[in-house]
Amino acid sequence: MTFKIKLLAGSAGLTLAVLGATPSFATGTTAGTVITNTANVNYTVGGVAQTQQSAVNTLTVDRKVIVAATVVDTAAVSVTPGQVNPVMVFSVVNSGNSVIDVDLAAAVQATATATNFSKTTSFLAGSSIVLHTGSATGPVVTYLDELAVDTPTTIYAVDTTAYVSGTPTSGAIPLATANGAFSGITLTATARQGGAAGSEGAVISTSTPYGGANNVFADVANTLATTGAVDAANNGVSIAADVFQVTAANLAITKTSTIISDPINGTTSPKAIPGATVRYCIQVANGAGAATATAPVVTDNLSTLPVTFVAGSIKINGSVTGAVCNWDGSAGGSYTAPTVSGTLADVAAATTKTLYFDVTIN
Amino acid sequence: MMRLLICFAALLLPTLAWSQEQVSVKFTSFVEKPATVNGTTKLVLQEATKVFPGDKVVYVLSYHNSGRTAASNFAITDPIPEHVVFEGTPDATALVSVDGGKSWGSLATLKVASATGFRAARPEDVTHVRWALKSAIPAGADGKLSFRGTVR
Repeated sequence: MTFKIKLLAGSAGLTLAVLGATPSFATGTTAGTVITNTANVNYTVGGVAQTQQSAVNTLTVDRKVIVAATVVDTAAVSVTPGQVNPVMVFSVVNSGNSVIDVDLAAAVQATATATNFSKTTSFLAGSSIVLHTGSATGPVVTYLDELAVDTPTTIYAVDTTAYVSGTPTSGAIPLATANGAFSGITLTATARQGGAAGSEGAVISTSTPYGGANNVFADVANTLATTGAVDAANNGVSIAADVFQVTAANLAITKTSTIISDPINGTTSPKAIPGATVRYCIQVANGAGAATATAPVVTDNLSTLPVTFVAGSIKINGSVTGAVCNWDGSAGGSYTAPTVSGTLADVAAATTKTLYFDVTIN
Repeated sequence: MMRLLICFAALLLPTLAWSQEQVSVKFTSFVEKPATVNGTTKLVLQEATKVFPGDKVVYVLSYHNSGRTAASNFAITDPIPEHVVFEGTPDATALVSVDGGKSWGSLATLKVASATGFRAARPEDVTHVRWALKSAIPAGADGKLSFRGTVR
């Protein structure tokens, strides 16, 4: 029944209140609350006061179920191939007017899916994702129990997929993943009935009241992937997507040789004759935009070469000019026959470091 | 002899409270809901007993004098429920209280204590609303009183 009552003059300019818009009440009346309004009525008849009567109206406050999952990371999470236990950070909040449980589920988005941070997924991270509260090593949760209104809970999604030795496509971030690849992980938060601590509540239905109140879903839709998990408004479910971005080093290894001297010509136009000293230079170049290569180890096995290692000749962290090695390294590395080895300092993107050493031709 | 009897009867009648609820009062509630009428969506009031926090509610007290005599000094006093914030009333004769019913007046004349002295009372300060009809309600007549609030 629709009843037309003249609205107050000041409210003539009311605009439409859209159901499902960002909730503006910070602390709404709890669902199930009965609002009793008792008015006292007095009058006289023929000068005689009549017994006071009461007129009573009751309103019941229904349950507005609003759950929202959001991403806390402000950009795609940078990871490296082979990284163990990478972490994504989400937040879940109950913005309704009653305590609810929230079921949590994490899943890897399919490849070629438009996802968060304007990325498109291009590889599959491992699918063994464990959710924690408090920190990445805090208590493990599969649901949030008795989540109070307006108390956001941070969820740490840790990809615990183990690397299988010898299988570069395994692990949380497979070793075989190229620089600049993206993988999306979704967190799906589903509102469940609250009221019983220690156990996950039943599914909430809009046709089945509980706790003395009807239920209405008023969650907003996160704009997300165009395929796979699409978040809808007003269904008790909120889905947020976070992204792993792979930053790998992009190393190119080059080996050059330079004849330094020979027994006949000395250092003037030396020739590759027995007794000549040859300098081998191994260049480690990291590509532009790549992740820094941390302490790359260079080894060179000389067993197939008719040469003899010159003791103490290894120099590391030399530079290059174009394709040519500069002899500006510092002493380092080691030789354990027949292998020369040395650990370079970190090689940043678009830079080259060298290891060089001398041998004599047998 | 007969006349005297009639006179006595007339005097006796008013003391017999034979009409317990000569004026009946119904207390109904209406909630603003969006409704699409002819393609345009606007807010209409629908009778409702279920509300959500933030809903705009109109409480209506409908009275009806079902007796054969007029009812006078008709007054209704309504304490605003705890979970409702008073917003206003269209009835010019209504008075409000901001001090729990101790004193009454129109909202514009009332003040409340604040940290810095007194300030003008606002609708959300109202604790009670009261209507006192100046005229009698004739037999068979009815009317409506209302006020508007928001569910916390």
